[in-house]
Amino acid sequence: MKIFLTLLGLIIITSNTYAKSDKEEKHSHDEITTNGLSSGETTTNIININVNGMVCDFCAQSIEKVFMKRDDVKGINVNLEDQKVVLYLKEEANIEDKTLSLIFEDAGYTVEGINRAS
Amino acid sequence: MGIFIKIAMLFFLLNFFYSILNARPISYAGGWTVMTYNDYTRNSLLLHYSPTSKYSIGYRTQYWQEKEYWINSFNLNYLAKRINRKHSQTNIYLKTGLGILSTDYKEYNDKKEPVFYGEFAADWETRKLFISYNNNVLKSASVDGTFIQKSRFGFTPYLAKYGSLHTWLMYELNHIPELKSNYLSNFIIRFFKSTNLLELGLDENKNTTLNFIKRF
Repeated sequence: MKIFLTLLGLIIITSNTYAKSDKEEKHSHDEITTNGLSSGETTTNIININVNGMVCDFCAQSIEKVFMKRDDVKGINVNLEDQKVVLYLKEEANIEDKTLSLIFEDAGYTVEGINRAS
Repeated sequence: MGIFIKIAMLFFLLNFFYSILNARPISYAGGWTVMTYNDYTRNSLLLHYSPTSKYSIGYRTQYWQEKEYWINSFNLNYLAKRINRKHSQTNIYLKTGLGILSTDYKEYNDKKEPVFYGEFAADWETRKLFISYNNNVLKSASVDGTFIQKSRFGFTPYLAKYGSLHTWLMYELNHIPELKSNYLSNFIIRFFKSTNLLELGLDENKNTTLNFIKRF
């Protein structure tokens, strides 16, 4: 029982830690908007990507981390239900389709289709 | 009581590694993972870093309870093949480690010797179903040579959104040829939220399983 309690405490601590870091990153899990992020920022430079192989939260987190470290990305939305990723780029930024596919491939996933809103 | 002390030591190590990682900002260029597996055969703790999504390198410590030995090793995991489909993912992994086995068991008097282990693992997963198989071969110079294989089937009773608490119910069949009863069933419940994965299990002999994975 002590072990279970120790582990439970560990999970609570780690969950709180990540709740903070999630706020720092400008991504949203469920709030898909046409041009705005949950942080309140807006952009019309949006890329919708259909991705194969995203089956769990670890997959979504990996993709978020890969893209959120890029300077040209303002935000990201990963939708596991529809297997879609929405990228919110800075207005003047651009990521070529070939580059996007490579980034996903390097992360372990496969791009099925890319649709640009801007 | 001894086993509780040993498990407590593993969790101390887990907390120790966790505090190190939390004290410094971790780059997202590569992912860090802490994994601890505890069942009737062994307690193990693995800390690994993934330079790419293809492989990870790490340090692993494990204690085999019945055989009363420790193994400290360098660990390499390699993703040999991944197949991405619209609603599924299939993976084939090769895992290996090289280290030192140390034991005081019976006639052994603080014996230390090289040990090698290798593992083949495959899994297929959707958002609702999970199937996996893995086998593990361990060989030391003179103390032990063992083979274990496991297969799992799991499902989730509800489909949780990304970021919510996911719950999985799993059945695990273990095959350990060296035991009198070769096959052992294990029933596992998995909780998965954010970067934390916790598994609690109970096998047919009422031994408990406790696994925990944390990603950074």
